[in-house]
Amino acid sequence: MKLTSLQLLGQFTGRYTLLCLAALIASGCATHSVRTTTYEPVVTDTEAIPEEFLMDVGVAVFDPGLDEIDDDEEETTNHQIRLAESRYAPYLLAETLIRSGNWGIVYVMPNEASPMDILIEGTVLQSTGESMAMRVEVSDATGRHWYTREYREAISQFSYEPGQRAQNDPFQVLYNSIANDLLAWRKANMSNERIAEIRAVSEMRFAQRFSPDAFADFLNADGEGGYELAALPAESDPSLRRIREIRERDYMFLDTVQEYYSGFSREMREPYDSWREQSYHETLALRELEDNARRRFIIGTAVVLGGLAAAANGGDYVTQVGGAASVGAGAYLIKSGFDKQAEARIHMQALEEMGTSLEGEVAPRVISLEDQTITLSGTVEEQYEQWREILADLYAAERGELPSAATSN
Amino acid sequence: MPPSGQDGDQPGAEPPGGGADGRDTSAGDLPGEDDAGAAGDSSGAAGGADGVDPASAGAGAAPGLPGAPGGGDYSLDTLPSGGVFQGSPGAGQAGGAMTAAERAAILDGQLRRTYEVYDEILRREQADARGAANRAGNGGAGGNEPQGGGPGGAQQPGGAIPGGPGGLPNGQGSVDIAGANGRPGGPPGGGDQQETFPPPEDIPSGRDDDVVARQLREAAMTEPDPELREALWDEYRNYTGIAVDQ
Repeated sequence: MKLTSLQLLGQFTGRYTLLCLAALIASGCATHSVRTTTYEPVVTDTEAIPEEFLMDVGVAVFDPGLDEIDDDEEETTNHQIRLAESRYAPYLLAETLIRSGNWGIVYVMPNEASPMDILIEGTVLQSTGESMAMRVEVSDATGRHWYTREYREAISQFSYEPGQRAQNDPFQVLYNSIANDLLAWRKANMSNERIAEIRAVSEMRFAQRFSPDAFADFLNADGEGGYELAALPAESDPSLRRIREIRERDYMFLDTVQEYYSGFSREMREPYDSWREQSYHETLALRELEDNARRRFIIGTAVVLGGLAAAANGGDYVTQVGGAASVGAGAYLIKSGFDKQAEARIHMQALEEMGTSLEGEVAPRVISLEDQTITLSGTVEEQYEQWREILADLYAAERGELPSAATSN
Repeated sequence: MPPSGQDGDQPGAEPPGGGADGRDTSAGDLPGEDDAGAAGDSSGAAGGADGVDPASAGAGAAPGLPGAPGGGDYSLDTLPSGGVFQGSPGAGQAGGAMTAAERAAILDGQLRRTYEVYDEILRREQADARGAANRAGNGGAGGNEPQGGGPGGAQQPGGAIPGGPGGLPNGQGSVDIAGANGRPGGPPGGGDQQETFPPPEDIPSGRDDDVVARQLREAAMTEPDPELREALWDEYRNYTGIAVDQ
């Protein structure tokens, strides 16, 4: 008699099902994640950089990446937490860049009004407490795009050890990588002349924001967001002096905004860390259960099919009995798969509940941060508008264009 | 070179040698400002007697900002906007035609006066925000502070020496980005208000400090020199028995 492959499978399965089952349950259910605990420190340039070549860096508030959440992550991703993270992460990045000592001033930028030598924009792609991913885009004041890179880091429980946590954010290594890449790129691609040019462009863009007439001839805009330096004003130019005075005050505004972000980050840290640590465990448990359930479904189905074939077509009594037994074992596996899925569901609900709980804490803080920043920006912008008027009058006066009538009324 | 560069030699428009670095913003060093004093004073500090009404402008965009508490002198709602040249009563009313340099000097004077008000408001707002940030930091469990930039910030690579088994930076500073930046904390000529600097992460709330510890803490928090500040914090740690970071 010629046996079909299904019958062969059935015979084989019938004899070895119980053994395989035992082995599978004993070994197949555990997932082992090996995570590196190596720590990439932030690198400080070994070459001393003259102050005039230290580039100022602006880190824009990140895009929370809500449009890029995968379907399977949608359920466990809390949008309000993402919004908070999109403010928290740039603050940590800015802080890391400051600590590196490789840059001039580093600010989290509340808006796009103040040109900086380098602008870093980012998008949060994933944040689960177990892993974090973000996309970072770097450009300079001339509009040149430096690079876009994605950073992804899965951490171990070690990162949540109290001693470790006291010193760093659990995902500090990710910020270090971004900072180190930025330094490497600058060293590989930027000459001092180019840095000086970028810094001059940044200053002239700021100058044009306040005194467009007086500084119109110094920059050429290409219409696509790019700028080219056409000339430089004399260092003794009084208009330039005034612009620098005003820029110092713009920095003062940005300093104040950094205090807002500092307060926000400090307030957020404790509940956020607690959430991340719990989320870390829940995410691991969830994934393990989901994997486990999936394996049980696949194996259980195969065993049932094999058992059925053996029971139906077995040539001898032993094979038929074995086939029947393997059907039972397969059914048990499938049932246990459902059980695991139910357990996974519990962890998913736990994650959602934890997210909702944290949302209650961080959402008002995000709103408060935004309120503070927008209010101060608005007020400062009013003052800036007045300065623009005075500078316009000064420009006219110095050109002898201000009508004398203007001085009397 | 636009025309603005042509008048660098105009008398009264530019302080000799001034502005090379754009940082010298101290008021009163402008030749010609004194000459224009009367006109400038008449329009200056009060700001708002004429021109755009600052109160109405501020009220629209920035109601009730927590800044500038007390005192009543300055607030984010009272940024003067009456300082624009057209709105200066008395300016040029002497009757004689003004030279371009004189006009520029008056406008420069007005610009400087608005700086003073702006600076004061921002300083207060900054101090408030810093205080709030510190309170938030102290209110937490402590020790959770991200590492600060270390004293001196960007211009001092020593602030970020990789070290330790994990390559963790040894920066002792706080989270204060603003303070750690290489840029001066505020415009030159900063007034009498003392800036405070948040304590490093390992410093507890200080609720149990005795008199000496409190004085050390206060001295450290108001010490602008980062090295000296760190030394004061070390002294504080020694005195209160907190282990100094290895």
